[in-house]
Amino acid sequence: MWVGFLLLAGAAQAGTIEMSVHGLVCGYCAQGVEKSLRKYPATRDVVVSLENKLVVVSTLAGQDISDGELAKAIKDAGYDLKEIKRTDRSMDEVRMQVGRLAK
Amino acid sequence: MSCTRWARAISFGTTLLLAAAGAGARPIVFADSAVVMAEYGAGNTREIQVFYAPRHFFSLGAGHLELDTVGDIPHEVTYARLNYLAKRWNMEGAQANVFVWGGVGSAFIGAFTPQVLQPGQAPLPGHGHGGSQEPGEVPYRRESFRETAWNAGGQIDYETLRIYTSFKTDTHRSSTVSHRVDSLQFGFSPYGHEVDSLAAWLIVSGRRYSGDQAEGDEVALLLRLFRKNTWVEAGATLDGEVRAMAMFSF
Repeated sequence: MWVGFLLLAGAAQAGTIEMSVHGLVCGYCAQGVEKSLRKYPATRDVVVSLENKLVVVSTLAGQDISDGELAKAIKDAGYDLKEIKRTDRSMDEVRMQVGRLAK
Repeated sequence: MSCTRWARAISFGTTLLLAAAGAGARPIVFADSAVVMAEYGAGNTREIQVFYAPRHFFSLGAGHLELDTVGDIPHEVTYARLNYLAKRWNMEGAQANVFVWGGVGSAFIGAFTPQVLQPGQAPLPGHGHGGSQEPGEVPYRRESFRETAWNAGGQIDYETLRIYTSFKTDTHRSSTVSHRVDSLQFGFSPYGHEVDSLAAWLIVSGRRYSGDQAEGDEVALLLRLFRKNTWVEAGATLDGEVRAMAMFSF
């Protein structure tokens, strides 16, 4: 039973997607990217760091956003997606890295 | 600058700041966004613009421009405009853009026509503007009218988190009104900023006014502040005239 619970808990973990994006130089850029990504029902949270050229999305438990959808969201916002990484970092860790804990 | 002009500048600036505090500048900011821009230019230009961008590469909207010519004769243009992002280069930590725009509207011209008074003749309605009413002298009678006006322009910019530079040209033309402004801006930010922090920029702005309404060059030093969806810029020209601009996006 415990094994089943742990497997279920693992499957239900929220995912973190980290993207390297070119062209992010202003607050408006960040707002546009964030707005575009928040349209996906699976999106739980979005952090954009201009200094780190980083866009991070966390998804709702058990849900995902495909690479194609992520690329489309970034392109539709007017920017260039360079790299996608799926990590197990929490959004607090991401915010700590980019100095945006006090949101 | 006269007391009246200072009062108008302060009043307009206050309005901008209040508007900016509740609401945002650039013809296109991001997809599915609206932007309100207002500018007070060195005592002789006032302009407000509202645009909506369905996509990140174009926006539609309207604007109203007021120009003071010699003697504060008002010339106003109300227009509809399409803005188009013709090209964008996204680089690591930098972005460059080419915007073009064009539109059509209505120009309102408050003209003054000389009127020679005969002995005993009363001035025509609308007489004013400080003209003499003595017979034989030449006061002025105001005759206002409207006509179709066209506008067009473009902007090239390059921006990083520390450096900003742009060249912009904007023209309004009708059979009576000819007004063009060419602007060159260089700016730098003394510190890095993030989305939620206050971005501060020091800007040197050069402008050349040409056409029937205004002629001449102008250099201004401006402080630009930007946080979240509010963008405020204020400063003065080397002649001591106030310049202010605000932009709010939502």
